[in-house]
Amino acid sequence: MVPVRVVRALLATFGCGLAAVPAAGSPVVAGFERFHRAAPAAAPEGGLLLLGELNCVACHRLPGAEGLPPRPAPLLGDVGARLDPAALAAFLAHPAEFKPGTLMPRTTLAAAEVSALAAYLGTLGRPRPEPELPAGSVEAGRRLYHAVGCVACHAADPSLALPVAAGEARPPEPLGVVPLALGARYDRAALVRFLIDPLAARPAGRMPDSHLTPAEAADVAAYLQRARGAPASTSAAAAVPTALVTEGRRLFTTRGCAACHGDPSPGPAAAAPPAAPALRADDAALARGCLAETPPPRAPDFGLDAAQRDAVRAALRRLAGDDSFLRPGAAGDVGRFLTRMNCHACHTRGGRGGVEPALQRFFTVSDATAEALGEMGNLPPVLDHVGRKLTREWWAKLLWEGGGEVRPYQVARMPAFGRAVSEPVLARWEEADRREPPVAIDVSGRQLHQRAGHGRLLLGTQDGGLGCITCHGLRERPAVGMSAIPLDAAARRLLPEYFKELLLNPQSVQPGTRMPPMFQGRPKANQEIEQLWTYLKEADQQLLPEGLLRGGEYELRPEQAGRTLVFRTFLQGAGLDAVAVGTPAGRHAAFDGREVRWALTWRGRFLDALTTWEERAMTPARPLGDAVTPLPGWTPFARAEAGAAEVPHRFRGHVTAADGTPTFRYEAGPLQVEDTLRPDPAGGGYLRVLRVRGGGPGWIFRGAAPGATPRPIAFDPAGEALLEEVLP
Amino acid sequence: MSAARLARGSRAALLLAFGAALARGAEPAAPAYELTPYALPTESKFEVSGIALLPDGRAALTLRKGEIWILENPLEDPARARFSRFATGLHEPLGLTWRDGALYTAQRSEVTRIADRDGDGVADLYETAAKGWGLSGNYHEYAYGPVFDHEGNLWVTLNVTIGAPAKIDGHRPAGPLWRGWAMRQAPGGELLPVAAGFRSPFGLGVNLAGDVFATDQQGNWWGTCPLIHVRPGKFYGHADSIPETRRPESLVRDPGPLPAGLTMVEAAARIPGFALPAVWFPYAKMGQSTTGIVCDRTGGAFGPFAGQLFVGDFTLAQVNRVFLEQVDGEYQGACFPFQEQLQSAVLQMAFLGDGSMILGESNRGWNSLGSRSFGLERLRWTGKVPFEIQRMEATPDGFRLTFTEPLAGEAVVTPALFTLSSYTYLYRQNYGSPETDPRPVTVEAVAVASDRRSVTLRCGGQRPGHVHELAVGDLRSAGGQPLRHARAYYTLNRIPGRAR
Repeated sequence: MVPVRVVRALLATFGCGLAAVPAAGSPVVAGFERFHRAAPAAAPEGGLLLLGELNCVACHRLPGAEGLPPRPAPLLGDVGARLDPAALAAFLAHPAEFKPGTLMPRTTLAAAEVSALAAYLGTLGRPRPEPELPAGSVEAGRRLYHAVGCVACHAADPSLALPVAAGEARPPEPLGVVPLALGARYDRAALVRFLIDPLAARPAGRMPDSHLTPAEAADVAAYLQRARGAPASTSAAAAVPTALVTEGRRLFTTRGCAACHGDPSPGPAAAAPPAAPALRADDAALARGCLAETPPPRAPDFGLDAAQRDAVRAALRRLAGDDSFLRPGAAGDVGRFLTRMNCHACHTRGGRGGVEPALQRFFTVSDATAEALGEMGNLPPVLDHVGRKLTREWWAKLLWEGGGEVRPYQVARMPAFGRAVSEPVLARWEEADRREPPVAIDVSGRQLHQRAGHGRLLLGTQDGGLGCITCHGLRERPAVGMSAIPLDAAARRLLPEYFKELLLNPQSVQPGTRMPPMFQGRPKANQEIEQLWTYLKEADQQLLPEGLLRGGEYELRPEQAGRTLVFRTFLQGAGLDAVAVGTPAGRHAAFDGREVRWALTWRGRFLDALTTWEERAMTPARPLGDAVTPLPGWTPFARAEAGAAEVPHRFRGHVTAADGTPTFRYEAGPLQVEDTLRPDPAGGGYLRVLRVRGGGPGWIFRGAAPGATPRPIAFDPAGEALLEEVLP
Repeated sequence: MSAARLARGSRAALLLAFGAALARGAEPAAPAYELTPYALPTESKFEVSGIALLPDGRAALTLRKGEIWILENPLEDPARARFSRFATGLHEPLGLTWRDGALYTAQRSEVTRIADRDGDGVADLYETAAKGWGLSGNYHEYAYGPVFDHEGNLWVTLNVTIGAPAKIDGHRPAGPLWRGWAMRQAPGGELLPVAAGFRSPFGLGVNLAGDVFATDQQGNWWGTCPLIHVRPGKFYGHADSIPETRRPESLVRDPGPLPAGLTMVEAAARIPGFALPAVWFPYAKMGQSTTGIVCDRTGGAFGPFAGQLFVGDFTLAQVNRVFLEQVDGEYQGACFPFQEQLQSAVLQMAFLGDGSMILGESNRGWNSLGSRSFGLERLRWTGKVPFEIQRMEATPDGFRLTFTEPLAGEAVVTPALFTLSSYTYLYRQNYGSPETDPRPVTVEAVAVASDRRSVTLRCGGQRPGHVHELAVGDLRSAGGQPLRHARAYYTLNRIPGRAR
């Protein structure tokens, strides 16, 4: 291997200091490579980025720049589980050779010191077997790596490079590719653990959490370690002399490692080294120490190339003379955050950043109908206005909690960056994107027009609806047309003011959106948008809009229930006090509780409960089946005397049998009646059985069968009678 | 590794819970009441419209879609609530009561007595317990209740018809509908119409003395929402029920042609049989749509309000509190805000065995504050005494305020701390009414009781029949708390000791 320093010297000799790529052995900070290396005018900004990313302020005091956020270095409490002492020693001796692009500087360490440090670090966490760890598939890992978004920051597999036809320009190589160096060296189980929760070891969030499941992490690990022949074997740790470990721990503090990494061991720490000099901006200072072309032995060597050194110098000069440099305003703070965290690898804001053209083909959709969304379908969203778009609840989901993704068709994932690094910027973001004057929307739910039902009608595809559900699904119902963002989380995710702003003028808020300007020219747009909001905030509890409701969704199906169902409602053909009786045999009937008689029979499908269960208007239900047969309009019992008055019938309710069959009870004058209608087991009709008590001479029964004629009732001496009739 | 995921998940849940608590405006330290939503089954929409406590401590709930469910463990962590379906196929039940081994609920067309005869945990008896009103099929013809008074009479109230009847085959209109009436059925007797003039009397409740109260909704003939002491023979103002007063069986005298342009106070003086509500809930200040009524029979387990009434509100998703007293034998009193920011429209409340309040919610068809369309919540007193105006009583020359805690010893209590005004409403067919004929009421002198628990206000300018609105300035309890609610609204139908 050619020593790094030689390469760098060679490069310098040939005047490659302003090359478009970092010199070998120099640190890779993606944002710097992307926006600053080839733009000397942006050198101060790029230098400030490096000052932060290289964590200069961990050792140096930067007068006037106390607010510069330090970059948390990897936590080493478990490093011994990830790398064995030999690898640790190799890393410590030549960081940039072991891990190209590393931000860790080389410190001048004697071989014995390297051994001691490696021995100490090797005791921090031990390789441990993961009994539940899936084996992992290289191919599946390759697919995931290129699909979920790893390639936004890390190199794509060269074997997947697109063939370029002769004469056709190959897209420019992506800038700011962060070399993948440690994956192949990690203990396999530790790598899987790391991929599942990278923020645990690297709280800086520059390697964010892509929400890989354990199985997915095992696949990606297999892919990253595909070149490593034998499967990972965690050799039993050799006995390490205690004195060596103790010496390593001492060195960890005295040689300044703890300045960035903290102290990973419990117990008293050794004395820290003397503070590094304050950063100054005079020419002499800018040419020595870490910034010297060849750093002196006691200074850490970051391997900065000429462009990086120049940028840092420019930043320090600017800091010395311009107080405002560190206070660029809310928009500037957001911009620096996006560059620092490399959000721009995926996202555009203000026309800056976004997935590199050469990588866009790796960003795909999983749902063919989402192709119609164009780049809004496959590429991560543009971040313009997002500070006035999202609720804090949703920011939290997106940036640290997970569960914030709302584009099921988009294959790339929004990774989590961790709360500590993300949360401080939110207030700045909200300020940067504040709209003046603010959009006014009343979402109290207090106004008369703010009814969810009105919003539901607007969402639906029926006459008078806007048909929002043509593109937006809800409650796992896909949209009826193409796939845009489902509506489930809209009211928790979006600020209502943004919601209104978007609906009133989609193209000005989301240039390129496929959303039509549905509300332009609608005189009641203000009220209607509030109605939509009311519905959306309760969307999980509301009746689905027309178009998403499935036919028969509210249908009562006795045959599925396996028992007879009793259902009271307003029922066409049986009146306002109807008790519908549906049987698994598909022979149904309704009893009229007001007129006290069987009113209706029908066959096939029973009833749809939607209007009874969901409608304020309580539209009467109707028999769904066929052979709907109205039964005679008379009450069942009468006196036999000619010209006798109708006997008043009084409904007394029903009791249900074990199979759900109701027996209706009523009184007819002195008679107490139990009246049951069931599918006739002997034929295709119904068998009606009436038990009557309290009778005597002179009573007649008026049956409900077609052509039934009144017949006298023969009561037994106890005044009881059992009557039967068969209805077709 | 999955542990890491889990840990992250639970941290997120905690943060969410904390955020939610903040968002709901929970008091930051040691709140007097703790509000917790129940985790609900997903098989049915828990649009809870009626609640009855069973003798074994479980709670039965009616759902608007027509079911009754049993909450098996209401006192345990609401996140681990267990429910079982008890009854199905009912027609929009809006109320639930347990009595003598059975549940009673008002369906659209009858009161039904529901019981489980074979002990399998599912209802098998649906017995008509009271019937005798009519329907046109108009959707607004709700029936509410029932409740039982101390004599065992069953009461139910009937919404007026609002809008056109439904076109429905098989319905042959017959007989009076009794819409807008309160109905009563004595044990073993018939259901009879007893009081008229209601509009949308959702709430029914019985106070400690056994008297029956109903709430109604602001709208036509109702300037704002009232709490009504329901008595046979009275007419409360909504005109749709007047035709039935001319029937021979009516206990309510025909009020005759209704004069136009009256205030409620004038209407009460001029219209025969007209009775004023016991309490008015000033619109928007004290809710917009009163619902269920529950009397605090917890003996103090729910805090320092034993014997008082709590009244739900639909639109504002809150619960208000009512103190009643009798002057010349007639109920009147004050209402106070009590618990805001429920998750949806409050329909019904009941008390659980430990004195917690359970609240059923649904806003379907209308709209409400809150974030949910329906739900069930528990409101538990933490034991910390909330500093509130416990009672506001009328005196011959003013009012007496009693607080839940003694006033701070150092508090200088002056008349300037108390602002009073009075107003009434128009009695008219139009929808609602502005506060009408407002006038200031002077507070001339105040006297603090020796136990510092009450303050007597000597006032000038009180007017019988009017709402007297009180606002209290910065007054602290001996424990240093500010008033949780510094407003009260006293409906001064009668001034004690003064002839009407």
